[in-house]
Amino acid sequence: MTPTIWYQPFAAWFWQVFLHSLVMGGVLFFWSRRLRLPSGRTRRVLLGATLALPLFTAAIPGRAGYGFREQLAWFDSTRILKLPLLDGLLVHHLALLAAVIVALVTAWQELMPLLDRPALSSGPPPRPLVRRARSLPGWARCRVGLASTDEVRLATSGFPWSPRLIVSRGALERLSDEELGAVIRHEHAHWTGRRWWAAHLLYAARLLQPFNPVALGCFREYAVELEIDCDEDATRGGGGRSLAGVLLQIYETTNPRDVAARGTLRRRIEALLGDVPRSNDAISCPALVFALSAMMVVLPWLV
Amino acid sequence: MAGLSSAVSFLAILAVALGVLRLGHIGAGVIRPDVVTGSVAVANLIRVERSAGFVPLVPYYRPIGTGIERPEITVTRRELVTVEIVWRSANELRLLEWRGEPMLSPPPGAAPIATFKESALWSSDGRVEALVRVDGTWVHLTTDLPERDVRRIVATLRPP
Repeated sequence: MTPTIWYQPFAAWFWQVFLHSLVMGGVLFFWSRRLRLPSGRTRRVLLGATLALPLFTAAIPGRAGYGFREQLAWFDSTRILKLPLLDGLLVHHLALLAAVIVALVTAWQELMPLLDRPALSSGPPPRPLVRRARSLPGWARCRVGLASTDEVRLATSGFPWSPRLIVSRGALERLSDEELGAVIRHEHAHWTGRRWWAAHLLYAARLLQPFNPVALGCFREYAVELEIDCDEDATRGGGGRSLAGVLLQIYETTNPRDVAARGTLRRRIEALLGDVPRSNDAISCPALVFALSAMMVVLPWLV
Repeated sequence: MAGLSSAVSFLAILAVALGVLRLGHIGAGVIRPDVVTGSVAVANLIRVERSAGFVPLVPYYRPIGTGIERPEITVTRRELVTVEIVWRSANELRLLEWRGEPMLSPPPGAAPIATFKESALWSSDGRVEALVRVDGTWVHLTTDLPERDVRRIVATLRPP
C-alpha cells in the first residue's frame, strides 16, 4: 500500500521535483550529447534551468489529485512506485532510500568545505594586497582577510554591496606577483556579470531539493562551469598558464579524499591549457528558448 | 538552419522520452492491474476479490423492493480500495465497503446496532444510513428502505 501522505500536495511536490528534474535532466543530457555541447554559457543555462524549472512545474496546483492522475496525466509515477521489487519491498521504498542517501551526501558535501576552511589571522592584511583588491572594478569597499594557513588558498564571501577577499599567508609567500594577480582577478570575476546572483539563486534552488541526485549533479556541474568561466574572464588579457600553475599547486595540496574539489581543479586546468572546447553560443537563442518552453509545457503532465 | 536542426533533435529526444514514460505508465498497469488507481466496473461478485483484494459482504436478506437484477459493482482503487454495490429498483440499496481505517464518522446522535461492537445507524435527508464493521470489513449502507429493514440487512451481511 502506498502511504496516504504520498498523495498530499506537499509530499507529492518533493517527489515531482525529482521526477521532473530527472526527465528534464535526461532529455537535456541526451540533447547536449547529440549536439556535442561544449563548455560555456549555453551549458550553464541548461544546467541552471534543470535546477530551477522543476521547482515551478511541480508546484502547479491541481495535479496531485486523483482526477488529474487518472484522466489527464500522460504519466502517473505512482503506478511505478507501487510495483513490488522483493518480499514486501516496493519501488517507492527504494526511492525513499535513495532520497535519504542523497540528502546525506549533500549535507556532507556542504560540511566538507566548512571543516576545511582555514582560520583567519588576527593581524591586518598587507596594504599592497588591499590596494590591489580595491583597485578592481566594483571592489572599492572590498574587505580583505588573511588566512593563517601555509597552503595556497583564496576565497571570497559576503554580499555584492560588501565583498570580502580572503588570501592565505601561503599564497602571499609562494605565488609570484603575476600568479597572485591572476587568482585575485579570478575571485573578482565571481562578482561581475550577475554571476554572484545567478550562483546564489541556483544554490538556494539546490538547497530546496537536497534529496534530489539530479540537482546535486547539476549544481556541481554548474559550479565547475562557473569556475571555468571566471578563469576565462580572469585570463582574458593573458596569464592563463600562471593561473593553471597556481591551480596545480592547490590540486597537489588538496585532500585526495575530496574527489569533487580535485575533479573541479583538474577540469579548470585542462580548460586553461586549451584542452576543453569552449563556446558561449553553442545553441542558438531561439532553439534554447524553444527547448526550455517545451519542457515547461510537457513536465506538468507528468505526475 | 543550425538552430532548426538542434530544435528538431531536441523534439526527437523529447518524443522518445515521452514514449518511454507512456509505455511505463501503460505497461505497469498491464503487468500489475492493482497499481492502477481509479474506478472500474466489475461484472459480478466473484470477480471482485481479484480486483479489490478482499471479498465484499452482501446481505442475505434483501427486500423485494431492491429488485432481482444484478447489482452494479464498482471497485475504486485509491489510497484505500473500496467496493460499491448498488441494487436499484423500486428502492435503492447502496453498500460501500473497504478494509482498514474508517473513512467516515457517524454524526452525533447516531445509534449503535445491537450485536455489532463497531456500528452506527442514523437518518439523513429521508434516507437511512448505517456504518458497521464485520470481520474487518467496513460497510457503509445507504438506502431509502425503512430502518427495520436496514437492521435485518446488516444482521445478514456475509461473504457471497
